[in-house]
Amino acid sequence: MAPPDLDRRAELLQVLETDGDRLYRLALRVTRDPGLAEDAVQEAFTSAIESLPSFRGEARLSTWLHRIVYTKSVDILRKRKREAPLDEETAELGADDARLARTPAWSRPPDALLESAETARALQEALAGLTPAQRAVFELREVGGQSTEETAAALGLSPGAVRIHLHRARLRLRALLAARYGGAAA
Amino acid sequence: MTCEDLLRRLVEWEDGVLPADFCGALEQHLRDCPPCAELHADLRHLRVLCGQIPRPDMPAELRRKLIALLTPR
Repeated sequence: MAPPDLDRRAELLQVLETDGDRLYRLALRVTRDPGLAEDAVQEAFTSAIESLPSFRGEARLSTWLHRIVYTKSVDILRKRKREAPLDEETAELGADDARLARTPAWSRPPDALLESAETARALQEALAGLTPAQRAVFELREVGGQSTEETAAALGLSPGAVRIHLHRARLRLRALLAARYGGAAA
Repeated sequence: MTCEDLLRRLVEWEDGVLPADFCGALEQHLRDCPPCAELHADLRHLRVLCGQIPRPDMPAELRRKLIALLTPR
């Protein structure tokens, strides 16, 4: 019989097979740099191997790895001072959110606008205006289609915090897109 | 329900975790309040856009490195 550590390594290989792309996209969304994303994923797997003996199986291995990738991505940003400040607001929605919600609408764009590659690029650029946690929540929940609960477990947040991050991310993206397309979408 | 309440509850509503009486009030507010209806329409459009964001796969070289890292010698 294989030692437990070897079994776990085999499980990590399985996670790499099934979730590797998702893990890389999470790191890429948070760091916004392919090189940094690769570093974050590699550091995460190295750290996971070192921590395997203490992994008690309270979460799925895949969920645990998502959390490590997210933490490594934020650490890398912090070390490189790419984002400042990194403090994440998770308090209740407040006046700033209400103000953002009243941004002039970008709504009812013609289909061509929704389908254009340029609009997708603009959204990618707008994502740079979000905090790392908002980008991570946005990637897993909005783009990746995971549930609020799955996203919360993967990032080590409460479901309530995920909802607040998601809502703020959407409001900020809407405001950034409205600033760009307000005229075109009227 | 006020516009502020709607803002606070919108994602819970989408998640299906909002109590039924709140759901009814929220849906009524969306019918009665043009700015909130507009916001909601924008957020739906945003989700359509999300489907168009490029989703790059893990680079093959990184995958090779990780397989080597995970494979006992």
